[in-house]
Parts: sequence; C-alpha cells; structure tokens
Amino acid sequence: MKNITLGRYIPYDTIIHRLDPRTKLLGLLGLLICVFLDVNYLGYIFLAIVVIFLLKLSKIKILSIFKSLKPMWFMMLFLLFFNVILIRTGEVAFTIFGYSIYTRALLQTLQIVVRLALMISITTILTATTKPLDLTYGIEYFMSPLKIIKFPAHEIAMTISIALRFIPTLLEETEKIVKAQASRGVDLQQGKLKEKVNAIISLIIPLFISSFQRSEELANAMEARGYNPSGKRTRYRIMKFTWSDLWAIIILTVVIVLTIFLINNPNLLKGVFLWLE
Amino acid sequence: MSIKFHDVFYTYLPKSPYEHTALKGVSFEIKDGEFVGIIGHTGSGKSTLVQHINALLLPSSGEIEVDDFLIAPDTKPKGVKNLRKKAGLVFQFPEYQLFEETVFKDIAFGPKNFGVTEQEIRPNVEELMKLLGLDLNYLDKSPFELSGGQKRRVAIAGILAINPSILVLDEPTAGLDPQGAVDTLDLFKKLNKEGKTIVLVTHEMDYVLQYCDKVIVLKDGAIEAFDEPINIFMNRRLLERVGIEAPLVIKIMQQLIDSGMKLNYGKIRDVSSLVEQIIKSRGDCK
Repeated sequence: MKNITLGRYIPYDTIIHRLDPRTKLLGLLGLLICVFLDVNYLGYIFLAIVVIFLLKLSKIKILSIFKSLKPMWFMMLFLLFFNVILIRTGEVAFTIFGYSIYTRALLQTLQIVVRLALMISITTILTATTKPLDLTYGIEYFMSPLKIIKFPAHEIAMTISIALRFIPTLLEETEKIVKAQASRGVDLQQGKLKEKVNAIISLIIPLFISSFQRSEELANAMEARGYNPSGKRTRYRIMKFTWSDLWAIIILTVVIVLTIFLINNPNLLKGVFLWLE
Repeated sequence: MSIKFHDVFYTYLPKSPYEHTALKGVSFEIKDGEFVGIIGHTGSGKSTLVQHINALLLPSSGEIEVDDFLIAPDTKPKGVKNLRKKAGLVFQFPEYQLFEETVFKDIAFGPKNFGVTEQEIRPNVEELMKLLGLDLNYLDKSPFELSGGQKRRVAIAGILAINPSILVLDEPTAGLDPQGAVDTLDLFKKLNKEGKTIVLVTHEMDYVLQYCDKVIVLKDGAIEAFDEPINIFMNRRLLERVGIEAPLVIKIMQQLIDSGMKLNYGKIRDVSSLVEQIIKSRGDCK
C-alpha cells in the first residue's frame, strides 16, 4: 500500500526541488504543450533529452517511470490494434496473412506511446519535487486573477489541498482496516469470487464511515477556529521568486522556441550535424 | 501456546527515503498461559512487534515461533490463516473494523471466515455479549447505533468469538471510561486464568502493575528489560532511561520505604495490597 511511486513527493534537496512552485507549474504547462504539438521525430528526440536531463537533475529513477507505465500496456496494445486496422495510408511496411500493415499506423502508435511516456515523466517531475501544499499555493496564485469574475479560487485551492492532505491518511487507514480484518480471517488474496467480494465490502464500509467522520470533524475544527473561506488571509510560507527561477524560465523559453523552430525547419538539426562535420 | 522471538528485525519501506527500522534484534519468550505487558514510548516499536505475532508483518530478518508455527521472512501466506485462528489481535480503536448490518453478524464474521456457521456460533455470541456486559437486545441492532464504548466491546467480542488461545491487545482501554476499562481488563484476566496467553500493549502503568505477570520494556525498537512489573517499576534508573513514570502506588511505596518503613513490596499490585502491607508492617494498627 505504501509503495505507490506515481505522483508521490520524494523529499530530496535538488535544484528542481528548490524552484518556486509557480515556475514548476509554468514549466509543466510549457513542456506539455510542446509534447502535444505535432513535432516530428527530431522534436521528440530533443524533448526526450530535455526530460531525461530534468529527471536526472531531480534524482528520479528513470526505471520507476517505466514501472508506472506498466498498467498502460493493455491500452497501448489496444491502440496498436485499432491503428493497424484503421490507418491505411503511407507505405506498406509488411504483410501478415495477406493483410498489409502500413508504416503510418505503426508510426502513429509509436507517437502516442512516446507522448504518454513524456507526459508521465513531466508530471512526475512536478509532483515528485513539489510538496502538495506548495503545489496548491501555486495553483491558487494562477487562479487568483479569476477572483474578479467571482471565481472561488481560494476555495478550490483549499479543497485540493485538503484532498491531497488526506490521501496518505486514507492509505494508512486502509492498511489498518486490512490488517484488522485479516486478523478476523479475511483473505484478500485467495478465495472464491464471492468471498473476495465480501472481503472488499469489509474494507469499504469501515473506510467510508471513517472518512465521513473525519470530514465532519475537520469541518467542525475549521469552523471552531473561525475559518471563513471569503476572508482575507496571510500565509505562513511566502513563495519567493529567485534568480534560479528566472534562469529556469529563460531555459524553458529557449526549449519551447527551439521545439517550435524544429517543427518548421525539420532539416535544421541535419544542417547542424552537416556543419559540424 | 508459547511465543518465541529470535533476533527479529523489521524495516518499514526498505531502500527508500522513508526507510525506518522499527525493530532492532528483538528476542524473548512468552510462555504458555502468561499475561505479558509491553510498554515503551510512542514509536518504540510496540505495535510493530505485536503485529508479528499473527504474521500481519513478516520479519525483515530473524524468526518467530508461535507454538509449532514458524514465521520467517519468506513465510507463505497460505498457512497463515491457521495461525490467525490461534492468535487473535485486537487493534487500537477496534471499533473501526465494524461493518456488518447487525451486531450478531459482526461478531459472527470472524468465526464464519474460519468455517463456523452462524447457527453454530449463536450461543457462543450470546455468551460473549453477556461476558462483555452487552445487552442481548443489541443482537439485531446495527453496530453503528451503539455508543463508542459499546462498539469497542462488540469489536473485542468479534475477536474473542474466534476463540484464539493467544490474545494480543493493542491499547484495548484507550478512550474507555475508567469503569469500562477495569471491566474489560478483568475479563482478560479471567480469560487468562482459563488458560489463554495474553499480550497487552499499554500506556497505563497502573494496569501493568495490577494485571501483568511480566513486562517487556521497549526503547527505540530494542528490548531494554523483560521482568516482573514490580522489579521494573522499582528500578528508577531504568524508568528514567526509557522515560516511563511509575504508578502512583509504587511512588507512595518508595517514599514510605525511603522514610524507613519496612515493606514486603513483592506483593504490592494496587492500593488495597499496599494498604495491607502497610498494616502488616505497622502491626499495631487496627
């Protein structure tokens, strides 16, 4: 239960960890846009190099990203199957059982896989290096201009941060209940389907009851301390924009510009290589 | 049913930034029919230790013998069910584990998992409810309608219904009213006299002195002492080292001894036995 790697904050102290959450949010947005632009294979290689560099900088194991891709195998096979059937353009790559498979279908699938891997890596960099609370502060900051049109920016940020705050608590609670029921002979791994359904019911009901209790207690505790969602509030930790943030944004802009440049001039890199030679 | 720990280590989340070794080479033996307390500061490894007794946690290294059942780092989950029938564990705030529609069904849930039908267990459940001081009218009520203390009793009954020969209790009295706490502990003492081995994790030193035959003192995942309660509580240096305060009865007794009174302290377990010893040593008092 405790070894969920995807999307978890990992407390190292790297340059990326020390960046302002707002910078990192901007970075996420910028890189994701790059990934979703229709860049050619040179663009993807360039983006992959940037992302691998960032993963190294933030001390995330690249292997763990591949592990988190595991559950998506089925979806990828599914995609490959339909692309092979439906996309009939490009050249014929090869023929099986008299059915010809086109290069475009294979390339399209590969593109989706690469995009997914890059997307997951980029979001993992953000969540692994930013404390959930800092992240919500960042989100609140970017949403605050919307307050003019009565958009509840603070309330939404508060809701998100409470939800994030309670994920580990709920996991802990689940583990506790699993253990308590295991002591009463519940076997989650083995048994017939009916027994398994019963086992899951014996987990879900207590979990629901305790979450409702918890949320009521939390609401009461907040009200008892005079929480007013529309009130003006100060903050314990103030976000600071530093020189390294400025550098990060400059580098990010260069990356985005380069990616877009690569789309329009696919021969640029080739030219660079030729020039180097 | 004896419990033996051989040099048990346990590490939470090994090889991660959250790695934490909770047990560091724990060895001891609890004999059949003993009533043993486990004390120590929060985070000293008490709960981790007791969860090894019914193989909820498997040791990172070392071995545990519970009767003829051997728990090793690579124990297969298949045989574990038999062990859990022999060794029942009541968690802290066990009322969290209630989920059935009626109190009866919830108490019968454990035995049902071990293959006893609801009809067979019915007389047993009623007897248990009487033992725990629960009104039989509750049988067909939802457990969620009950008060906190009653829920706790239903949850404890749910473990007792499995009829384990070892009963492990993690802070069973936390949050109960004083009378309820004493009643529950008296019940455990009674079960102990009927032959069950009891392991009690607690912060209440008065109960340790009053009910336990022996005490394991844990500090930072290692055993500091394993002895009779009175010897533990008379050892001021030990108590200071592990940050535990002696029961009031012991403090009074120590002051009496310090001021020159001769007391046979081996027999003192609570207020009335203290008074008895004082009267004996004075001789002239009526």
